[in-house]
Amino acid sequence: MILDIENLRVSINAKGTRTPVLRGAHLQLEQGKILGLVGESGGGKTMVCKAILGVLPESARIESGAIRFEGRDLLAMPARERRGLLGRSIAMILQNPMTALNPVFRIEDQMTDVLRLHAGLDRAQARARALEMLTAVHIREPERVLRHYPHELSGGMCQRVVISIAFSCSPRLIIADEPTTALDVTVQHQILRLIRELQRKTGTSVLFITHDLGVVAKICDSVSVIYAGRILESGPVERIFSSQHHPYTQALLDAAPRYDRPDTALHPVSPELREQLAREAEEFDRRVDREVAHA
Amino acid sequence: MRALLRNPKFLFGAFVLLALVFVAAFAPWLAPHDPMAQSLLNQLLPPRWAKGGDPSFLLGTDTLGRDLLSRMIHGTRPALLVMIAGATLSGLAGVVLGMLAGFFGGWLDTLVSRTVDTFMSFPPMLLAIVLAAAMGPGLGTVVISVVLIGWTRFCRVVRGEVLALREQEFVTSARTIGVSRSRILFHELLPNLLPLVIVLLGLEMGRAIVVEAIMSFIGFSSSGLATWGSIIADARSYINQAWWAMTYPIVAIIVMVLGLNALGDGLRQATDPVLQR
Amino acid sequence: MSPAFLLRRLLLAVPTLFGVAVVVFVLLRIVPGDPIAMMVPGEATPEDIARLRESYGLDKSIPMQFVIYLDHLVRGDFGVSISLKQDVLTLVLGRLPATLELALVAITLSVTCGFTLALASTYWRGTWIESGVDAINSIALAIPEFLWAMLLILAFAVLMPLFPISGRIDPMRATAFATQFYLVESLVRGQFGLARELLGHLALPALALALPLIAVIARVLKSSLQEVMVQDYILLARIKGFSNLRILTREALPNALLPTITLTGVHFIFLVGGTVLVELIFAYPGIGNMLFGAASNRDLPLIQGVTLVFALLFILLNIAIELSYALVNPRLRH
Ligand SMILES: Nc1ncnc2c1ncn2[C@@H]1O[C@H](COP(=O)(O)OP(=O)(O)O)[C@@H](O)[C@H]1O
Ligand SMILES: [Mg+2]
Repeated sequence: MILDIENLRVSINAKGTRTPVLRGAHLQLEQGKILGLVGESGGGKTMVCKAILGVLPESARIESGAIRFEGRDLLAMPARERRGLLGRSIAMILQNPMTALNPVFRIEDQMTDVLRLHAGLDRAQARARALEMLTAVHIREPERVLRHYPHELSGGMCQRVVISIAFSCSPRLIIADEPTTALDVTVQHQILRLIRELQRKTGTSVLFITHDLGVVAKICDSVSVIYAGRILESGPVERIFSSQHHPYTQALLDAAPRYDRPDTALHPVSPELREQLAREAEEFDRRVDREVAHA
Repeated sequence: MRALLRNPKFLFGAFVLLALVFVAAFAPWLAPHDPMAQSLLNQLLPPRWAKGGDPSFLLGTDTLGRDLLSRMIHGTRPALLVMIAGATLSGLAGVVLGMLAGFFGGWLDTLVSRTVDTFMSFPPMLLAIVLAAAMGPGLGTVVISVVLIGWTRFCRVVRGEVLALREQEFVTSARTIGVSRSRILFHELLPNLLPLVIVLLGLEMGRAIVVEAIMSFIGFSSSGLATWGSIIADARSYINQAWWAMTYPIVAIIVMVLGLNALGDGLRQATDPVLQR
Repeated sequence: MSPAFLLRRLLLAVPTLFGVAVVVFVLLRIVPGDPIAMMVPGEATPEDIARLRESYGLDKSIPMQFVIYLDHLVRGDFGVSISLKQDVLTLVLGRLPATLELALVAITLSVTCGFTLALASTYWRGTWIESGVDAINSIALAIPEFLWAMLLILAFAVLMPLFPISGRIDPMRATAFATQFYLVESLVRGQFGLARELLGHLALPALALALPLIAVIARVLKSSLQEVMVQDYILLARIKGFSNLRILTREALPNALLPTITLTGVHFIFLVGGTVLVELIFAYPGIGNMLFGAASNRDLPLIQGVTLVFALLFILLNIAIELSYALVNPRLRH
């Protein structure tokens, strides 16, 4: 178990009111596997990533829970040590590649800085490694791309660069937050295949976030479904796609475009189901409040 | 109106302004001495509460034995005059030219805009000094320098605002139904510009006070008057004997500037519907 | 930034300079008053005066005077000072270095302090340091440089005598210099004692000029830093494992620079304009002080010369600022 999140509760404090965004979430990711985290937009997926990396917004507070990385609780770790893991042991692929790269620096600088920091390479070695990584993400003319600024590259190219940065220090865990959402459909497939390929090659564990169950079916080993900050269901991909599952998962399944049966109509999540889930979330908040009051 | 009376910035600014007007209006009755009367027996007296202070000279005297309190009180008069005349005239010139340039466009706009550019390519003090060289010292010179420095600020803002308003529906529709140009200018545009102009006027009054102080400090104002700037200039020459003399006008000017800025800010806060929510 | 663009900007400066020449020329001649009468001794005969008027071209009609003035200007002839009886251009250029040094020290001070304040208040966000910086900013902004100059005189020359309040250097030592750039020269030659004295004289005038600009820079840089700090690429930098300090200075700062440079540029121009007054207050021998002297003597050629040089300086600064935008933003480089 490389990543084990247990009862993670996070809330946002804005203008005096406390809004829960993660309600006792739990996730388990096996060594060398890809775990899909699925849910609609606003469900709290990005919050999970930021909590793991320790980069939550200032208004967010972790109320309770544990995030164990290779058995050690990140939340109990000294800040320095925790930051030492970033880039070296845990890396992330952001959702929007066009904004993920610093606009004033050349690609070369943005790829080599992390290598020089963590792998202790000198300028020439880091450049060689950057070229190697760009080749690994199937960028043609890597020499030329190194000289470019981010705004001179397409979205797909930027995402390849971001992916190569994430993999470049051989981290043990990579978090990919909707890495294909901002891209064209044709590019999406290439990027998915690329992540799968690199994951197989390096044996890195990946937490793969998406709102598309179709994508999960393609590349994940197991999957967790999140709604309103609660994990509704977790399990191996085969099980989720076969039999007994949560009605919300069923709704997502129905809503996902079926690549095998493109003619089937899309069924959005029904209002009744949404209401019921909202009631459950409220019920959860009340229970937590009661527990806090008792303690 | 209610919002205005509850706005602390506005209240502070209004208080400062009213205090200035009051002191200026009743200066001869408020001042204990003639501001020009020299007294060789009472040179460089410290303020009353300091050691060696004289009870009849509350703030002390300068090198010529003139009463500093009386000079400060009489100094409100040129300050107020320059403030009102300078700000109003620059407002008038800037608003009229800005409205015409923005509304009619074309060569008029080009001419006005280029003139504004030219004026703004001078350091403001340089303009004032050149003017003083041409006109000689005096209150009129000071007022005109305020106007020469200040009109461009009104003009630029008003022109931009008119350009934006001109395309809005109430103006275009007024034009299509044949309302005359002057009516559009004065009845449609002017009322919309007024809140902005009032804020600008507040800022300009603050600047005018400073320009007045500077001009009288360097001796370009009327030499027969007690002005805050001339008190500073005198005090600077005997600063090592009586440092306190300089603090009175400086504090007075700072309070005025802060007060007038607060007045403008308060007015904007209280009249801006967006800020009110 | 292409050479063609630069050329166009320089050409655009010509009408502005022409405008400046017109405004000054007209201002100086709308009011009657005879500069010659002021400069001649009492025993001069009317013929002497007439001869002098003729030699300065003041006997011609005003439009004619303007044409002649322009004609001379185009050849680089700024005329002869009436009160100092020397070539105006030589006089102005001789004083310009002092003013430039003052402006340069002031801008260096503004940028250093402004950046430090902005970076510190972003780094220690939400602490008392941030509130302290905000308070300093609003005070520095609210008070104009004239009053700052006076307050500085009170504080650092009288109550706590640390710095001299007038002049540039002890005149005895001024002869040691080969150029008018005293500060630069003393630094280049390694005469740090002289440099210390020069900087001591510059401290208060430069600070008076710098204070409002410090506040502007600190405020604008802080707000653009805060905008940048929530961007995705900053998140990526954090995820890369960089320290907060490095993220702030190496990743965020370059992106936050553009608005600050734009504004610093605009305000630098105000600052250069402000030297006129500050030189006067601190009796600093730059062109501002020279202008004041010229104005007191109604020395028309000298006033015109100083004004034109100032306007030219302003225009060149504007162009330099535009060029600097391209340097900090790669997107504008094409
Ligand atoms: N910086 C923030 N400040 C306040 N609320 C936020 C912030 N970021 C996210 N949220 C809220 O947290 C919830 C979860 O958001 P997020 O994790 O981004 O969802 P997802 O990634 O699944 O689309 C949403 O309701 C969102 O409104
Ligand atoms: Mg998200």
